[in-house]
Amino acid sequence: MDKPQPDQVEISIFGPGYGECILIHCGNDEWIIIDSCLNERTKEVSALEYLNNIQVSYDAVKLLVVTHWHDDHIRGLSQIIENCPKAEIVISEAFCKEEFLELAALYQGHDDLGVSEFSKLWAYLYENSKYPKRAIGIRSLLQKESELNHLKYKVESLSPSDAAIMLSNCGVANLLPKRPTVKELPFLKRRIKSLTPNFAAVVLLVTINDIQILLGSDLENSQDENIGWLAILKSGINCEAQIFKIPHHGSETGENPLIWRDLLIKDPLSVTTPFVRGKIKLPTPDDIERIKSNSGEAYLTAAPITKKAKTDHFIDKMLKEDVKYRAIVNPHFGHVRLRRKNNCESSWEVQLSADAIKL
Amino acid sequence: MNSLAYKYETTPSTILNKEDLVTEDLEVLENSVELSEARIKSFFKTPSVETELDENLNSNTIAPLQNFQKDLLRLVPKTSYRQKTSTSSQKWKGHVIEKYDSYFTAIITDISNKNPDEIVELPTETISQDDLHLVVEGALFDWHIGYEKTSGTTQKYSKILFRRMPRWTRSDFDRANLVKNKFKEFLSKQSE
Repeated sequence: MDKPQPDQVEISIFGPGYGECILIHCGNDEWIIIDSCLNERTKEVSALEYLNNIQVSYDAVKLLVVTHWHDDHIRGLSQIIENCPKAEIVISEAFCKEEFLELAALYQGHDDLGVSEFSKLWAYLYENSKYPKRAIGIRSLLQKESELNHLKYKVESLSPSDAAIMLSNCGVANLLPKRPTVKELPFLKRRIKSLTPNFAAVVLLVTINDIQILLGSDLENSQDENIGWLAILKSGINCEAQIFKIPHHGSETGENPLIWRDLLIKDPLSVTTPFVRGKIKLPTPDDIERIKSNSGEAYLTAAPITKKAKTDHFIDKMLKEDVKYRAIVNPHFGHVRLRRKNNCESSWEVQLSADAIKL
Repeated sequence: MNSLAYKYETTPSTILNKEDLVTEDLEVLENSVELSEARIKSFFKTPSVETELDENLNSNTIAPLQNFQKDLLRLVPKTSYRQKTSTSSQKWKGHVIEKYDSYFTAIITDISNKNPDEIVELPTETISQDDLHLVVEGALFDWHIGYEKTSGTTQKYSKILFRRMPRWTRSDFDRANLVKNKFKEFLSKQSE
């Protein structure tokens, strides 16, 4: 694999390790990382592995955006933080609220309970006196202009909305164990659940010269116009993105026809990552049809199909006796890479690696 | 193990009252050749034993109890324990995602990191009665599959052991409060 030219924009989408990861080369060797996942085959942090493969220094990472808090979505995040000291860290405004701080503090050191990456993130920020940038709809997070290659780029957060932050705080407060009292038996320590539906995810709009990229994270849709995609659509943001990272693995819960009409150009190039956990497979065949009908070209980092788990013959035989169903979680992993010159009208060069497919 | 001896050996506090000993227990005690009748009698005659021993432990009350325990230990039948060795071929750690009436789903991670994570559906009947109450969303368990060798006989085994997770304590919350306040103070400086 080769490194992009200084005047080339690159968008790399990796997944599904656990969660997904997006890398953007804005130009002039300046990179942005959004979330983190592991390459299940190599067990490496996919963003760092890729940068290493194309011989890009980790110091070239200028921004790291964390859109989720649960370990399953940001595996390897702490390694990115440690290896990319020059990157500014962006977290959701929701993460700075009392409930999330308590979550990070309470679960610190409990590596098995599902929030260790988030706890490590807070510990790192505090110990290194590194103030995070807080994403909220709508806020400018980074803006740069350079004469070299006439590069101009901007990163804006389009979510979460104020109402979504309040909602997610309530959700986290409900997930937190209660302080033991004389009357009540204390809660048992156990793995914390994810918060669903996800209305607090950070949606990003990245503008590089005349190119707009809309990164939908896992933001879901709601009937309430104050939260989810409707809040973004009602905000009056001026957006005509050519590239769309489809939210929530292309599922119906992240779909709103107005996104395609109001925030994207006609027939955009869209990419998403699958979610395969046993019998749940996203995107569904219906989702795929809908995505294809709305996109000029659409890609998936891997097909949403299960794979039978296989171990030693003796183990397999033993498991057959006890186990009703067995499959690999996130069996496939792929990489969709899009490149284009940043200063002239040219078409996108698409490269698919590993299990990535065109829809 | 003799059930009476086991009962007394593990929970000596249960013999504080004479009434705790059922008739058959007394029979076992009285028929025991190793336990002197006089000692049993002296033990039950000790007034302090019948009163609030927990609150007033002293050498007078503990001594007969300790001697009594020693005697009871002798009641434990000598068992020739057969040597048992087990070899785990596969070890997973797992956590429960969803729990239904007759089964639960879990994600298991190979400890050796050789195999990818798996999602499994396990019938609750595979879990021992003692562990059933522990099968809840988010519960952690260890799963070992391997061979067990007992006196030359090799048998396969599959053991799922749910972790007895500790409960959140006040000190956990006190510690977390300190950390949270540090984070809050840190963030407030940013706002300034």
